[in-house]
Amino acid sequence: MKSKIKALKLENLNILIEAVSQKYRAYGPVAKDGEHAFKVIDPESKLYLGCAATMLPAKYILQPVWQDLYSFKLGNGFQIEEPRLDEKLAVFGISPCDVNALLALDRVFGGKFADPYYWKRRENTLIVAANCTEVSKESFCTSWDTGPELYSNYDLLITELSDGYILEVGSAKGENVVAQLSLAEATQDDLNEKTARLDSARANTEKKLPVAPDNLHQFFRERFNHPAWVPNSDACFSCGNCTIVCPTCYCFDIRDEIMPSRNAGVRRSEWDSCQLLEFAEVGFRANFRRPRIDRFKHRTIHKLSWMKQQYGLTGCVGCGRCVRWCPSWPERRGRVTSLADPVEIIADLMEPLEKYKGVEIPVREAA
Amino acid sequence: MKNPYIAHPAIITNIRQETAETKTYTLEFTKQKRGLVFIPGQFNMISLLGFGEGPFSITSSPLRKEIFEHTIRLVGSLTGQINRLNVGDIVGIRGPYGSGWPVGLAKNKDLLIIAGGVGLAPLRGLIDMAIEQRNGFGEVEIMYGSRKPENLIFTSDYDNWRSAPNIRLFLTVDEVPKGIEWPYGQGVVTNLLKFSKINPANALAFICGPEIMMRFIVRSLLIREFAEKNIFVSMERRMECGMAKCGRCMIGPKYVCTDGPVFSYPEVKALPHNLLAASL
Repeated sequence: MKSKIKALKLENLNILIEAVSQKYRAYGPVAKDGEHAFKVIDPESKLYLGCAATMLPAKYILQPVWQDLYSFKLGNGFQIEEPRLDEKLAVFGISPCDVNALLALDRVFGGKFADPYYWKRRENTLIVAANCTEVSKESFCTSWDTGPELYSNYDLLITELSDGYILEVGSAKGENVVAQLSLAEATQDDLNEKTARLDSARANTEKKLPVAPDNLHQFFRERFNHPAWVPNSDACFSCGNCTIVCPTCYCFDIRDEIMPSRNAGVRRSEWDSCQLLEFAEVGFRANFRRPRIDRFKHRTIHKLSWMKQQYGLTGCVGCGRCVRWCPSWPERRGRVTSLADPVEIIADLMEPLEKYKGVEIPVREAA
Repeated sequence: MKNPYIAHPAIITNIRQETAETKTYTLEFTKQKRGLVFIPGQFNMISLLGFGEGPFSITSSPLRKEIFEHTIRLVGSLTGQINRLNVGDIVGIRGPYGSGWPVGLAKNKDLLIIAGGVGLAPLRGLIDMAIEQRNGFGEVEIMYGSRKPENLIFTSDYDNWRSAPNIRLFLTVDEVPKGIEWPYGQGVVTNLLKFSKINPANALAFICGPEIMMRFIVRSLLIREFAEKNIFVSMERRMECGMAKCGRCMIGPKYVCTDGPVFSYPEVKALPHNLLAASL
């Protein structure tokens, strides 16, 4: 099967960026403020193809933090105007976990009420993915089989070698781009090096989910009222970082903004987080998930089990961003890594109940 | 691709004051020729440009195709603005959304309808439907509780409901202010269940009200030998989209907007983070 995929040898990324930029507005992971972020790139840009390298995942290009649903005029009647979304986009250096996260978002924004804003961008986007030849210490993609290697669902796929790159073509869209580059086919040595590099990345991934993905549903059902949730959620700041950096988190708010002229405005969607106190609040300040423990459980179980029930795809791809960007330092709970780490939450839930003697599980009150 | 976020303009053709803070608005689409096709218990997103959108139950009978009604209580900023609207004003409507009451299952069955406060709103369309199609359903008992007599909604409908054959209405309030004549019950709505004459074996119970009220109603019904699968509740959650996208209304793995708002009791019992949960 692998031999059928067209594999080319690419000397440097810049000629590819140049070819793509002619037709697409290209984004890629570049250095920013000591970290990396997806920014608009040009042929001079230096891409950083690390494991889940960017703080924000590529989802923000397809489902922006803020987006206008439509603009409107105030006054008589109900006059609205939809935005045009026909820009062609390309995203370089999406890691395999993030591509798998997009497949989950495809299902969230698909279905009976398909979201045209997401889908117009999605269909106009060229995915130039990059395999991970190294896996960061926070990542556990091998447990989900969402990395470090990507097998499908890309237009172009880059794998870094010691002397250049292998460029694989996964779609007609990708083929159109490489057609103008006249690249040589990759040699067997190149392909062997690719396999060796990815095998080594796989072998070096130390972090593992302690429960098999298929058993997680049952695991959380049995432990919904486990006392380990209490100290964990007590140490959580409810800041929402884990959801903002998560490549499959999709919740949003819709709000209206009025222009200074006061005769027009826009209706916008804006990323939101189930970790924030007001997320489930309704009239009279009734709140269906006021206790922090409810919010903490909701995020954890939704990612690891409920999303699979809802969409058939897991809501965690093991990118490790929540582990890395959770500000609740490990010492706060006598942990090795941060509080948002799904692997450690699961490990805590596997502890015998005696360890939590004296921990009181709060009783639910009316909203 | 059709844009499901786009609301359609509808004109307010009538406003009826229900209580000091609740009004019923009659609406008609201005452009769409086809009226609103819906199942009782479903909801619309009502939109006021510049103020936002919110989910509101459709309170009219589904058999009245050309117009539809919403009964809205003044609670926050959006409902505060809706409360200021007049006949002839335009709002945006998208919908209907959600599951609605299982009217198919209810055919030829007796109906026990129990509501608290504005919880009667999503049940009114069902009551009207059962009256208009009197031969399609068995006996109907409506048990409705409110804080005070002045908080009861749809009071102008009660004579019509009572005069229909085999329909009984029972009322109760928590508190009767001095000087108010009140010939009906006093106390919580569960107290009314003792007046029920219908046979639980051939009946469905439809409940809407605060979660804590529904919790105790369900307990009482189970004691009266209602089967769990014959009990249905309408749940409330915050919603932004109504289309299982914004994620706000989730109870565990269920979206209240598309999987609900009407759930059977066995469904809701299995969910976390609500007062009807079995794990409570």
